[in-house]
Amino acid sequence: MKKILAKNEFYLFTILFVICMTIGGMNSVFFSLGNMVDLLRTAIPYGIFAIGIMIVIVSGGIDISFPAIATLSTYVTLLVFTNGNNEGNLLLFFLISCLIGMLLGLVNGFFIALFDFPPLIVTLATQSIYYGIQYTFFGSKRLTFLPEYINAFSKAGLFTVVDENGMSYIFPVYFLILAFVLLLAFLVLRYTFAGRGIFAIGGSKSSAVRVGFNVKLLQFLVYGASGTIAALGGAVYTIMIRQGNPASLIGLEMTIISIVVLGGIDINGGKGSIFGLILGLAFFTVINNSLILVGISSYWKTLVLGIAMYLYAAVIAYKGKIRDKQVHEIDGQDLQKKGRKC
Amino acid sequence: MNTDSSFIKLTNIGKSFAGVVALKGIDLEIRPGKIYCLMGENGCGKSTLIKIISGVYAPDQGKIELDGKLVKHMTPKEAIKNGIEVIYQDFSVFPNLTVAENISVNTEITQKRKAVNWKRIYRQAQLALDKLGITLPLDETVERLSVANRQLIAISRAIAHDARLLIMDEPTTALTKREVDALFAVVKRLNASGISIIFVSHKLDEVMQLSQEIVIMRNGEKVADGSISDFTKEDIIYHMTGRRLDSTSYGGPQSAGAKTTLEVKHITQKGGFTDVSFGIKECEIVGITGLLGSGRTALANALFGIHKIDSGEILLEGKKVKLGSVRSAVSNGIAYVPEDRLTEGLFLSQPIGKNIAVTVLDKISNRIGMLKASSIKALALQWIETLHIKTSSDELLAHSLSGGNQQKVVIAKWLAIEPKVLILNGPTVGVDIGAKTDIIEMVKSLARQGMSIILVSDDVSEIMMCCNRILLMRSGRITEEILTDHITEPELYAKIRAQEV
Repeated sequence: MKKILAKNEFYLFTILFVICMTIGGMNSVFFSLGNMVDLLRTAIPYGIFAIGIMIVIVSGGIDISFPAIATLSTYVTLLVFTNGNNEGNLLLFFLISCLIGMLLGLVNGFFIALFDFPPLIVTLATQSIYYGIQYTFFGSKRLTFLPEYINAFSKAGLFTVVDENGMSYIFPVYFLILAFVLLLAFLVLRYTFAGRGIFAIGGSKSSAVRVGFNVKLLQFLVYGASGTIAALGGAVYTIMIRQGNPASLIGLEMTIISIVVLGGIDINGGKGSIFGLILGLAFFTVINNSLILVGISSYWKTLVLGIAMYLYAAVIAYKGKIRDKQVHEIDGQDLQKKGRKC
Repeated sequence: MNTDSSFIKLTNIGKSFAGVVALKGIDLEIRPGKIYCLMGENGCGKSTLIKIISGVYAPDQGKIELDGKLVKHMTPKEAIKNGIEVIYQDFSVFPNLTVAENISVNTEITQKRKAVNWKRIYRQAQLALDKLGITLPLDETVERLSVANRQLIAISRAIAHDARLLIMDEPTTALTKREVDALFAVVKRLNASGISIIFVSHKLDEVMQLSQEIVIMRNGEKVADGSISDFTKEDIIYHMTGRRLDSTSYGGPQSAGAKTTLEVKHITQKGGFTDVSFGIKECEIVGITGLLGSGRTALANALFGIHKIDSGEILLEGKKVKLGSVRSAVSNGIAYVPEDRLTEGLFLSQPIGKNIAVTVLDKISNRIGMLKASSIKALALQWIETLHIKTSSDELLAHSLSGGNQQKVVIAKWLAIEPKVLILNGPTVGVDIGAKTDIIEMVKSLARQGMSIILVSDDVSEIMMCCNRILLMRSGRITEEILTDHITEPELYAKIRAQEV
């Protein structure tokens, strides 16, 4: 029980539960199957982006450039496929997009791992460069005539819910992409040595070097993965809104970082879990989409999110204080025990 | 066990950095199952030698043999593969990971594991802890453990895969006395199972207590080695510093008419100390000792005006004074060398000269408050000379100095105000033996010239060597006053330890 109380996830879960109960109690539509499907659907692109950023933050870094990577990689891929009308196929669309994303991410990794440049500055710079390339060479025109297979995939559903008013809610197939990436990230972080290495670097880089982790390679790969996942998120988002819009992701980086931090992932690196990330995502999605259900204007949602972030920071800081106290107590007990032996 | 054949043999090892010789002609043999102590002042080449043994540096000349076989190119990986492990001062642990992961990580890396099997990690960790005979919570994150326990984790990690030599670089610096005892028990247990240990330390008592063999270095050369039983404390200090230590105690004021400079009557500070009364005369060195938390530092802080007293009175040369602030203490001729010189006593990123001059800025500035660089320099050079501060220039930054020399700078800046009462709090903590000798000599000669000195310390030998009178503190009260001539070092040590139970 003590262990559960010690986890950030526990507090977030409790708060989330209370909020859901309150909203659901005031408006039963919240718990309707249709609303649930809707919430899950909107969470998909945010979730995918957040996984990439979580991995970077756990390794002790940060990546501000991912919306630019997502935009540039999907836009270029769309251009290639829409030029000759309906070329390629869905798999190729994802593959090429992710490949471009990976390369752009590896550029970040190259400067951060090899030259030890600060991640914040490197990714701020590349964000600017990638957006610059987008607007200078490819323009800012929206692409609305997408290949047919993209439109088809956008509408494909695992199942459809029809409520009493006759409204139908499609649960999209591309939800599986989010589920797959979540599972993959969980397995890599928990059950591969490279994954533990990412945590180790985030905890103490100098120790990781001394113990013998290949720190530079791991960092390089982390930013490569972040770029790949960003491109995947960009591709899914494009499918969702059925257009290539070079301006739609601008400013998303702070939102995603908020989700990751709300999920209990330590902004200083080394700590965090996929379970926490899912809770952070759920919290964000509920606040972002459901306040309207209880009659709170959507202008309020950023305010509510801000207050939630602030309270959360306070809880973490308070827990840190308690922990320091406990460390002293543990030491004290040790001393007493040893004293009795003497 | 065959202790005749050596595990590591170094012959005529030499190493230079940019033309500066760090090591010359070192011969060293490490045999299985022995505890070696490597001693020497700062900059004598100890760390360089350790780095050569652990493969971090390649020697310029000489040869390294492992189990009688010549090693051409020693790398850190090669060293670890051969069971040579170094416990660094920062322990290289991961605060965010669990105890089990921290212990197993080296083994996992050497076995080139790709996947993580949590059962295996816990098993390996438990095995290592069993070898040491200690228990720690395996699933706790390391940041929740004490420094001593983090060190045990570093040791467990080193022995988790067959270590044959454990090198420990000043392992006791951050530990309490009891933790040191616990650490030594672990070290002895490891040693009994055949692991050799190289123990690097400044602390003579610990060295005499733990090691079997001793190697002493000075200026990059090995000056003495052999069985610890062949060495006395005085021998070791002599070999390390090249000087004989004057271990006679300080007699105190020779004339009966010495005036009382500082007297406190029934002073109390809530949470600090209670009903403390004592006086100190010219030429006296009074030691205040006791355990951590006995109120000794609170008392020193109060005498320097850092924290106010709640009741009682303080008399300076017979006149009642109020020490409400540091400024008032300084203007009354009281100087204080604090416990933690790095955070409280020095401006590390400022030059040595300015650090010395900082207490007397108003004296050396002209009428409109401008400072003259030449008077700062003159003052700095004077003190660098008087206190033998080892530096090539007064313009170097304070953090370029060794611990002992930094301490001398702190003392110099307070001597510059020509104090009547000098309070020293742990003046030789973390200072090497040569500088310690210098500081002790300096304290005595200042007292001979008439200064009253209060020495707050838990270093028994330092107290015995310096003071003519000792005040023993316990839970905020002075429990006993002892003349140094009436007590021996072990007796005083026992008195202090007796308070612990």
